[in-house]
Amino acid sequence: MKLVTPREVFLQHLQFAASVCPTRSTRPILMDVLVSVEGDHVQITATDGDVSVRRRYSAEGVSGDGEAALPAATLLSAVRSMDADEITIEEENDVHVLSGGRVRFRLNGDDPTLFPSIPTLEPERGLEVPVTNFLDLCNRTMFSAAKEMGRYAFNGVLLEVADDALTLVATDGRRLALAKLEGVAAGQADKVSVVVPVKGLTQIMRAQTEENAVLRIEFREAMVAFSLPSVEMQAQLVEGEFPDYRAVIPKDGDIPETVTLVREEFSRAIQRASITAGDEGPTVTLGFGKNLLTVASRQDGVGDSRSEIEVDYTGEATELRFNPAFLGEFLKTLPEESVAFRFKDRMSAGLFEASQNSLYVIMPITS
Amino acid sequence: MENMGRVILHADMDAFYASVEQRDRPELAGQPVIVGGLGKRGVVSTASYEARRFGVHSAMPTAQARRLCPEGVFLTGRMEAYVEASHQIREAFLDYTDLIEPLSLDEAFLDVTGSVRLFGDGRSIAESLRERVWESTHLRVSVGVAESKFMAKVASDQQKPDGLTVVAPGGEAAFLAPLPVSRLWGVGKVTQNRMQARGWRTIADIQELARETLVAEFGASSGQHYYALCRGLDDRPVVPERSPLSVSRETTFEDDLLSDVQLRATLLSLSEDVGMRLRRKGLSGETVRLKIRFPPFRTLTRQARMQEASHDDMTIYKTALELLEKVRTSGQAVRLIGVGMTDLVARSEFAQSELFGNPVEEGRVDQTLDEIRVRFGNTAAGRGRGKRHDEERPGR
Repeated sequence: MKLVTPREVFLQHLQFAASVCPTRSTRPILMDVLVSVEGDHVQITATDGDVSVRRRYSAEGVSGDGEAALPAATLLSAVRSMDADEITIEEENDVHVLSGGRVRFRLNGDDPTLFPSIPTLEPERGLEVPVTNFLDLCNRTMFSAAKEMGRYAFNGVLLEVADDALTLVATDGRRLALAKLEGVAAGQADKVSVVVPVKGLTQIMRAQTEENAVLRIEFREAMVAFSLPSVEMQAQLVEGEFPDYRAVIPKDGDIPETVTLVREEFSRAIQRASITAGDEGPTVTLGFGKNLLTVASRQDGVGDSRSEIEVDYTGEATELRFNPAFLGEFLKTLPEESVAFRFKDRMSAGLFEASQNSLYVIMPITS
Repeated sequence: MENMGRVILHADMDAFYASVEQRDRPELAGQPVIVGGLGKRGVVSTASYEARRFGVHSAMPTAQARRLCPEGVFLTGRMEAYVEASHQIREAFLDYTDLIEPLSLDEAFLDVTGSVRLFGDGRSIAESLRERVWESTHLRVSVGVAESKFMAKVASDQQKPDGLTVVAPGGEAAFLAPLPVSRLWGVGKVTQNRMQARGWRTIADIQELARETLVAEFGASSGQHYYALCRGLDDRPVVPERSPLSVSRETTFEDDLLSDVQLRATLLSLSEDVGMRLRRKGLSGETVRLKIRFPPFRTLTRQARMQEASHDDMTIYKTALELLEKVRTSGQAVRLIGVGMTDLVARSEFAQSELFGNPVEEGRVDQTLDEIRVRFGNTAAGRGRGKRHDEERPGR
């Protein structure tokens, strides 16, 4: 195998692909990346057995041919440590020599034929969406997926296709984010409902693509595949039933009060409240009074803070408590200038509506 | 002052450090083993009973011990092994009560008043406990049983090693009478000399004195104290450790367990126990820890931090199960399994509500099970899937 490539572009693709590799595995080959070269086309493949990614590029100054399975972490550190603009990987007597400028590494690789084969997908049931729209849906939802273990902890995002709309939903059992894209020509993929691992979606989020690129999503038995010209990701679907999210989105009658908030102003108030909310069970209190919202927090041994925001509110005076991180993470993701907050009382779920197609349900902290 | 009809145990490991050494190095069995500082100024921490025959005892300068017992095996000690053994002993104690006041690694008071209904009287509990400690550590413990901490401690010292002494209620004064005054709690060298100067050598001598005489001699507080103590009256409660760093339960299978279903059932019942202990103490844990031993001795621990602190049985169980499924393949034999919670925090007055049904329903089940167990003992109730792991233990 031989590859000559500009270092920068190789490094960029390598580091994204390598992030899929497990750090420990009973199958050491999974800790490798498979580098395949054909003329000026380079493909870097990585898999952890559940999520697989292929990243492809071709660039001026790329040449070579053949395949090599190289330890991802070592290769990444080595390439990162080099200064040369151009690097070469060449197989010499069973070792791979990585060189550039006056630097030379000799790396042990594995037999590339042992690298797990990742099926090339035949187009089956699929749909195509503009990648920018899809990334927007991811942005609005992925942060809500569970990061830790627990009840209803789904380390995945629900992807639903129905009635020519694509909906993403993520929840960790305490809050739930939903974003919907309408006008998708679903065709055969209509009525699909799958849970995609967060790790796989992250690969798509990191793909650098042209603005008008089209993302192709294909569904097959227990698998989903996403492809862009430069990256292809396949993932085993997350097992287990996604909770009935429709049941927990408050209906109009459940949330009689509505307040429109200027996102930036509200977000800054939440950030300030976080400072004095402490680490253990942080809580922010939203106090609604006549045309005034007070955002306050207090932690024994730390101190307290309050910010006042003028709002259009004439309902009963109410205090609601939330985890400030849950509010902050959501507000950060929105491009909209304002967001509607709808609620009932301190015991019930609150609903943020950034638009008709972008919702966030958040459960309160109660005493 | 009364003793309030309590049942207090004082458990004292026999020559603890030396016994651990003899257990772990069978060639030392029957030999005089002395654990302590080996330098010039070193002192003896523990002497085995074989070494004690030469007059070696703890707190003696090691140099002196070497003169008394030149054939002795002198060791610096392995604190980690003693701590590990101490944990195992504590685990065994926890089978009988949560009211445990450790005095050191090898000594503790247990208030088992609430366990009498389940395990029988003080003597039966002490016998069972001694057996349990032997099974889990292969170490011997001497136990004193009485209505007060003072009497229990005096009793445990009475028949060492490997002894069990019960002081029946009402028998305290007679039991104490022949013992030297130095055995009274609070009597040090100075007081002892002062008592001896008056001709008071045994506790019987003190028992004959009027309260006023003792108060006149030692002041109101100490005088009252000795007056009560020489009659075996001591109402100090057993004070459990403030806040434990972790709460855990484990069980060793008599035969290696292969069945997924039974293993899950055991895990559930261990989780229920851990949850109950947390709730009793008003604590929640942020991290679930799973301990598993594959035969013969490959022991792994895995832990997972949860979204937030919990004391909820099913949350503990589900998290522990996820950990289990990561380290064990279906049908793989298991020798020991344990569940624990660490990163304990006081239960907050506020709680994050859940979207998909609060664990209120489960919380009610937890509470009901707790009540049943308080009334009828730990083995009385559990969830249907749970097998009371106590049944897996030998000797019960």
